[in-house]
Amino acid sequence: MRRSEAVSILRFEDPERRNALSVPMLESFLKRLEEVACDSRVTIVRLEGAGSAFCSGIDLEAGREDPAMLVRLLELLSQAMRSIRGMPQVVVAQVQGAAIAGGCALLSACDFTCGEPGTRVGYPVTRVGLSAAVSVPTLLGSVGTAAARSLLLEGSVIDGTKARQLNLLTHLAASLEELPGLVDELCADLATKAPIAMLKTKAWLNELDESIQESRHQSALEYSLHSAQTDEAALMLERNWKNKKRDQS
Amino acid sequence: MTDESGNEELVQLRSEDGVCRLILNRPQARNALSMEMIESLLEAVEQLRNDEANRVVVLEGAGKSFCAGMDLKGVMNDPLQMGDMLRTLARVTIALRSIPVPTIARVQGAAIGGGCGLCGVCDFVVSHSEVKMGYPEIGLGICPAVVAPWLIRRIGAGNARAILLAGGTMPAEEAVRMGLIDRLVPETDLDDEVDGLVRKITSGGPKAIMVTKKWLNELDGPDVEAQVLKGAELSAEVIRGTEAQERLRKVFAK
Repeated sequence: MRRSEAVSILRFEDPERRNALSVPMLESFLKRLEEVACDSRVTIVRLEGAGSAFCSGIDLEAGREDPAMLVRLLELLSQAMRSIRGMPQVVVAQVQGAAIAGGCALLSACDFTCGEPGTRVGYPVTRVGLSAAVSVPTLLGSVGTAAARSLLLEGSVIDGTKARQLNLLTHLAASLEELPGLVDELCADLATKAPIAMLKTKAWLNELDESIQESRHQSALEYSLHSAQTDEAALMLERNWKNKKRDQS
Repeated sequence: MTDESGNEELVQLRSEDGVCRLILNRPQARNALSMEMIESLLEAVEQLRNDEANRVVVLEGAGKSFCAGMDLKGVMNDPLQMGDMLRTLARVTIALRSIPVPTIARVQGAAIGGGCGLCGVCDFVVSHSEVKMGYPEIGLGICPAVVAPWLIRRIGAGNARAILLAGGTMPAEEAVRMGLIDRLVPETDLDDEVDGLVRKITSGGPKAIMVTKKWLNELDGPDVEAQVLKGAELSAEVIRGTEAQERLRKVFAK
C-alpha cells in the first residue's frame, strides 16, 4: 500500500498471473481495506493492478483442483465486493487491460472506474459452468438491468469504449499511457471535495440503491456457489484446463 | 404580476389552453431558491398537484438562468434555517412529482444544485448546448441527499453515484449522455422545442397520459417519499456541521 495524503493506493501485485485472485491475495486485500476504512485521513482509495491486466478473476486453476477452494474463493470475492462498496471512502479503480469475471465484479463495486481503449471487461464464466450472480448487487446499479442481463447471460467480453457506453467505466482515457494521468487528475479533484459530505453522500447512495444490503449479497453468492458445486462446472473447468494446457504445449 | 403588497411574485403560474407555465421569477438572483421562494414554489406545486384541468406543466426560470440552486447566502448565519429550506425543498420535489400531468423543465443558462434537482424530478428536461448543469454540493460541504432518490430513478444508480460523488458541473453533451437532459437544441430553438413537445403531449389522450404517469410514479416505489424526507434530515444535519459552515463562509466571503 502506498499513500499520498488523502489518497490511499491498493495494488494487486501478481502481474505474472495477471493478478488472478487467490485466497491469500483476497485475504490480504480484505485486511488492507479494513485498515484503510479505519483511517480517517484517507478520503480516496485508489485500486490498481500491477502489470498488463487489472485483474483476471478468481484463480480457477486452484478452484479446479479443489472444489472447496472454489467455494472459498467465491465467498471471499463476495466479501471483497461488499467491503469495497461499504468503504466509507470513495473508491476509484484504474483498469488497464483485463478486468474479467471476478475482476469485473470488483470493478462493479467501485464508485469510479477508469479504463482505456484496451480495457477488457466481462463475465465469460458460463463457459466454465459458473454463474457470475455474485456480481449482481453492484452491477445492476452500475449499468442497469438490460446491460446487466446481457453481460451476465451472454458472457461476452467488451472493450473499454463499449464499457464506457454501458457506464461500467465512468471514465475512459484516450490511451493506455494516459490512464494513470487521468486517474491522478480525478483523485486530485476528489481530494478537493468536503470529506464529510462525500462520506455521507456515499453512505446515503449505498442505502438508496441497496447495493450493500447483506441479504442481496448473500442470495447472489448462493447462486454462484450453487453453480460452482455442480458436475457441469467440474466437467467444464476440467475441459477448460485441458484446452489451456494443450494450447500452451 | 404582483402580489397583494405590490411585489413581483417570486413564483408565477400562468395557464392557457391546458398548458400551465410555472415560472421561477427572481431573475436578478438567477432564480436562486430563497426560503420565501421555496415556500411560494411549494404553494404553487401543491395547487397543481390537485389540478387535472391542465394537460401539461412547463417549469421555467425568468431571465438568463433556469435556477442557480439554493440561496444559502441569505441564511449564511442560520444553519437551522438552511435545514428548514432543505425540508421544504424536499416537499416541493414530492409535490412536483405528484402533479398528475407531464412536467417539462425548460432549462436555459444554468441549473445548479437544487435547481438541477428540480429538473431531475420533472418528466422531461429540454435544454441547449451552452447550459451548465450539475450538483456541486459536495465541494461546498453539502450532502445532496434530497435530490439523490429522484436522480437515481431518473438516470440510474451508477450514473447518480458518478455525478453526485464527483460534484461540480458538466457540459450539456455529458448531461445528455447521462440522461439528465432529454432534448438538446440550440438556445434559439429552445421555445420551439418545448412548444413542439407540448403539442405532442396535448395531442395524446389525456386520460391515457395521466394513467401512465400515475403508474410510473407508483413504480418509483413505496419508499420514495420517505427517502426524500429522510434525505432532507440527513442533508440538514450535514449542512449545520463545521465542515459545511466553514466551506460556505469561504465561498461567500469571495
